[in-house]
Amino acid sequence: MNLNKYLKTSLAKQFSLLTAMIIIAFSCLIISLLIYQNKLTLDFHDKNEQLETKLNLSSDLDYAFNLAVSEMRAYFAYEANSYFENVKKQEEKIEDKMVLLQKYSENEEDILFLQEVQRFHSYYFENMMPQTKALFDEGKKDEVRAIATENASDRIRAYQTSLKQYTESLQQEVEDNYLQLEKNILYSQIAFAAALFLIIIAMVIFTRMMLVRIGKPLRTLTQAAGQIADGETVIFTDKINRQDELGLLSIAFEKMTKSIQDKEQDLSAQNEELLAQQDELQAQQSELEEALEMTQKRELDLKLRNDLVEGLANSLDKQAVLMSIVKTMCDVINADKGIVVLLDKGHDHAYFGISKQESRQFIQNLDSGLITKVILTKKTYTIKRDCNVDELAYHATKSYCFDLYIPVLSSSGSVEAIMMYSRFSDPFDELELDEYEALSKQVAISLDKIKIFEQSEEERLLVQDIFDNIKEGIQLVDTKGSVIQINKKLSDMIQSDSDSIIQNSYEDWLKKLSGSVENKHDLKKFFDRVLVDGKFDDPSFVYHQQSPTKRVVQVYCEPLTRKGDTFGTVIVHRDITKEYEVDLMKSEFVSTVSHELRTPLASVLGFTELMLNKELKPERQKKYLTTIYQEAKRLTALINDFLDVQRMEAGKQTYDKRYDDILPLLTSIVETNQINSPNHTIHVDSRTSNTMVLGDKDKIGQVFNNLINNAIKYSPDGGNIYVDIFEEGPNLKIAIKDEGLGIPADAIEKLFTKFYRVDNTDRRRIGGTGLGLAIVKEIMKAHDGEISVQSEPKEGSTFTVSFPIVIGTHNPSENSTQENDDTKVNVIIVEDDSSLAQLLQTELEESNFHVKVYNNGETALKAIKSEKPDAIVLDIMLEEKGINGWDIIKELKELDTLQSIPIFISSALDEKEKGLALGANEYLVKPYQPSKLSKLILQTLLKKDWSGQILVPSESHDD
Amino acid sequence: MPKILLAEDEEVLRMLVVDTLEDEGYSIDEASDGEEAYNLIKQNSYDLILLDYMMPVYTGLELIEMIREDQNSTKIMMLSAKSQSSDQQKVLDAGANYFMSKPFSPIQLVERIEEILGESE
Repeated sequence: MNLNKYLKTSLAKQFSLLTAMIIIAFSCLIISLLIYQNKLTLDFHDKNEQLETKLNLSSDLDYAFNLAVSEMRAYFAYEANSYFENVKKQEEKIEDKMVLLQKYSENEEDILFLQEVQRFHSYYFENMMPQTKALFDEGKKDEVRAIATENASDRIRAYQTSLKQYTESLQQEVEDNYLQLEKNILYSQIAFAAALFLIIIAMVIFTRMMLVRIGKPLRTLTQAAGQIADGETVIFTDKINRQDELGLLSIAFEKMTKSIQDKEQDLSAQNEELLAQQDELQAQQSELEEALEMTQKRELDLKLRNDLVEGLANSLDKQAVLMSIVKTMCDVINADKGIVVLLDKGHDHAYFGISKQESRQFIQNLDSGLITKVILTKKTYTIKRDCNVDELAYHATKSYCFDLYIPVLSSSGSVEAIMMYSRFSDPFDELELDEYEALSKQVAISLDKIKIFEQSEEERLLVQDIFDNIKEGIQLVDTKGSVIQINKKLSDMIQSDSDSIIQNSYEDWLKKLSGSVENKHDLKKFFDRVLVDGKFDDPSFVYHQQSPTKRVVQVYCEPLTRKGDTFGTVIVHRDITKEYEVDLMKSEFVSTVSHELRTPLASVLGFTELMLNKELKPERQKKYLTTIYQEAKRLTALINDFLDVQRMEAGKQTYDKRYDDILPLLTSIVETNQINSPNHTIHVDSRTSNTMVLGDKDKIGQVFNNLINNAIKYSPDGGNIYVDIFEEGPNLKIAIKDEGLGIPADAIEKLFTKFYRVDNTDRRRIGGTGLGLAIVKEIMKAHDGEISVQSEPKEGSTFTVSFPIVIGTHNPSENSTQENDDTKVNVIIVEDDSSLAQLLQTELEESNFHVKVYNNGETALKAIKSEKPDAIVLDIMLEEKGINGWDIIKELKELDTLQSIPIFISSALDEKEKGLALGANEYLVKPYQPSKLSKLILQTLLKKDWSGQILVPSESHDD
Repeated sequence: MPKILLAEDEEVLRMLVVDTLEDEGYSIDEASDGEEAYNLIKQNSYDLILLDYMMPVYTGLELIEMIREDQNSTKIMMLSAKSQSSDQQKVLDAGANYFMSKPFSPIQLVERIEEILGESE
C-alpha cells in the first residue's frame, strides 16, 4: 500500500501521522460528546414538551369538564339557557382536546386515560345531560336532583380522580424525564472521560512504541559504532529491515562497517607492510638523528664562534678585546676561570675568575713548564688535577679540575698568545679540543686585527707627530679651498685651534690667516692664483705677520695628488723670520763690509796713486808707504776675520790643539798691545801656576788679542786694563777688565752675535766688523770653554773666558831628573823613507825620547813584540813586498800585551778615518811639522796616564 | 782760494784728501765726526763740503738734512763706500749735489772738484 510505504520511509511522517490521528480522535470524541449531549437535550425537550402538552391538555380537559359541570349546575340552578350554551361550548372544547390528546397519546396510560375521558364524555354528554335536561325541561327537578345525587356526582368525582391521577403521572413523568436527562449527561461525560483516557493511553503507548522503534536500532548502531571505535571486529547486519531513515542509516552503517572492515583488512595488510617500512625508517631515522645531532653540534659551534666573533669584533681597544676573548671563551668552554696573555713584550693580558696575583704568577712563568710545551708544540693541551683548596669551596670530597692550555697561532704560524682555562669535574674530549683550537684561530684573527690597528695607529700617530712637530705650518685644503687638516704649528701661527679651522671655507680661513698680515692683498692674490685659478707657477710668497709676534712667513703651495689625481692642495707656511733677519743682517753686513773694506782700500789705492803720479818728498813717500802697509795689514786682518767666521760657522775650522801654557802667550800679546796703545796701562796678574790648557795656540792667542784689543778700543780715553788669571773649580779663567764705555744691558745678549755692534753715538768713532766677539765665542766653544761678560755703562766691562784645567800640577822643572836611558820613553819609528826617518828621529830625540827606526814591516813587528815600546810611529806605505802599516796595526791590536801601545800614523795617505778606526791614536798626514809629532806623542802619553808615573820628557828642553 | 770742508772719520783718508787738495791750493777744514762738521758749517761758509757717509755722532745723511734744513745751499759731495745706487739715490734725495764712491782716485777727486767749483764761478 502506498500510504504504508510512504509512512515507512519517513519517521517524521510517521510522527506527523500519529499526531494527526490523535488530534482527529480527540476531535471525534469531543464532537460525538457534543452531538450526544445535544441529542439528549433535544429528546428531553421533545418529551418534556409532549408531556407539558399532555399536561396542559389534561388540565384543559379538567377545566373544561369542571366548567361544563358547573355551567350545567348553574343552568339547573338559574335555568338560563346561556348556561347550557356554555355547557355546549365546553363540550366542543373537550372534544377538540380529546382529539389532540389522542394525537399525543402514545403509551398505554395515555390511551387508558383517553378512554376514560371518552367514556366520561359519552356518559356525561350523551347520557346524563340530555336526560337531565329533558327531565329538567319537563320540570322534573326532583328526578334530576335524584340522578345527580345518586350517580352523576359519583361518576364526576371518579373522573376527577382519574384525571388527577393522570396529571400526577404526567408530572411524575416530566420529573423522571429530567432525571433521565441528567443521568444521561453524567453517563456521557463519564464515557467521554473514559474515551479521553483511552486516547491518552493509546497515545502514550504509540509514542513509546515509536520511540522504542527508533531507539533500539540507534542503540544497536551506537553499540556497533562504539565497538568499531574500540577497534573490535563487528559484523553488522541490518536486521530491522526498515525503510525509514533509521533503515537507511542502518544500511549505510552496515555498508560502512563492511567497508571499514574491508579497509581494515587492507589496512592491516598495509600496516604490516608499513611496519616493515617503519623498521627501515627507524633505521634511517636514527641515521638522520645522528646527522641532525651533527648539524646541531655544528650549529652550536657556529653559534659559539659567532658569539666569540661578536664579542671580539666590536672593539679595537686591546684590553677590551682581550677581556671579551677571555669571557667569551669561558662561556664557550664552560670554564670557570681563564686567562689570555699576549706573548709580546708588554704581556698584555686579561683574566676572568682568577686573582691579579695569580695572573701575575702565570705571566712570570710563561717560559716554564707546560706553557713552554704548548708554545713549542703549538697544540692545545689539557691536564687533570686535584682541585685546590680554594676551588673546593665547602666540598670535602675529592674533586678534579681540568686545565686547558690553548696556543693562539697567528697567520704566520707563530704563537701569538696563550690562553688557559680551567673547568671543574668535566674533562675535555678530543672533539672539544679540536673545536677550541678552531676558535683560537678566530681569536688570533682578532688579535692580528688589533695588532694591525695598533701598527697603523702608531703609524698614524707618528705621521701626526711629524705633522705637528714639523717647524713649518702645514695646511691641507680640498679642491674648493676648504680646510681638510692643519698642523699644530699653523694653528699656533693663526692663533686658533685646529678644530675651529677645519672645514673652514677658503674665504674664512684666509680671513683668519691674513688678519694681521701687512701685505694681505698680495697674499690673497697669491692664494687666488693657486686655489681659485689652480695655477702653481708662483713658487712662493712671503708675507709679514704683525701679531701675535712679528713674523715673516714664506708660503708655498703644492698640489695634493694620489695616483695622479689631484684632490687638494698642501700649503706650507715656513716661518723664515730668522732667515729674513739674517738676510737683513747679511745685506747690512755686505754694506758694512764693503764700507770696512773700501776704507783701507781707498787709502791704499789713493796713496799709491799719489805716489805714482806725483813727485813727492822722501818723508812723505815713507809716510804714505807706512800708511799703505798698515792699511793693507788692516785689510788682511779684516779678511782673515771674515774667513774665520765663515770657517767656524761652516764647522770647517780645524784646531791644532796641544797642551800649552797660556801665560807666555798672554804675556807676549799684552806686550804687543801695550806698545801700540800708550794711553792704556795693562796689568797682568796670575794667581795660579797651573796655566796649562789644551788648545790651539794661535786661536787662543786670537781670543786674547781680540779681548785686549776691544778693551783698548772701547776705552778710548785710556785707563787701566786688568788681565787676571785664576782657577775657579775645574776651570782656568782669564778675566779682562777695562774702565771704558761699558755695554748697555740690552746689548749684552746680542754681543756675541756676528756683525752685531753696539750702536750708540760714542761707539761710532770706533771701527770694527762686529766679528771679533763672535769669533771669540766660537773659539771658546771649540775649546770646551766659555765666555761671559759683566758690564756697567760708563764704568767698564769685564770679559771672562774659562778653559777646563787639563793637568793637576805640572811643574816642568821636575822633569830634569829623568835623564837616564832607563826612564826614557821608547819610541819605534817604522818608516821606509830614510831621510824622513832621520828627520823624525832627530826631532824626537831632541824631545828626549829614546828612538829606534825600522824601515821594514816584518822586522819592525818583531822588534815591537820583543821591545814593547811606549809609542810607535808608523808609516802605512812600506816596501812593496811584505806587510804594510795597516797589517802591523791589525796584528798589534790583536795581541793583548801590545794593543795598548799608542800608535801614531805618519802617512801621505789621507785616510784618517780608517786609521783611527783600526785603533791608531793619531793620524798625521805628510807633510807635517816634526815638532807636531813629538807634541802629540807627549800629549797622548800624558792623557794615557797623567798621574805622573809615565815619565814625560820635559818641554823645558824645547824652550 | 776756494774753501772746502772735509768731514771724514778715518784719519788716513782725511790725510789722503787733505794732502791731495792742499797740493792743488785749496784751503781745507777738517772734521772727524758729524758734530764737528756741523759746527764748522755753521761758523764758516764753504765753497764745497765733502762728507763721509759713515761718521760718528751724525752720519753724512743726517748732516745733509740738517744743513738743508738751515736753508744752507752749499754744494755737498758725498764720499761713500756705500756705492749701491739705492744708497746714492737716498743721498741725492736728501739734498746732496754730488756723489763719489769709495775707493776713489785722488786725481779724479781733484778733477771733479775743479769741475764743480769751476762751473759755479
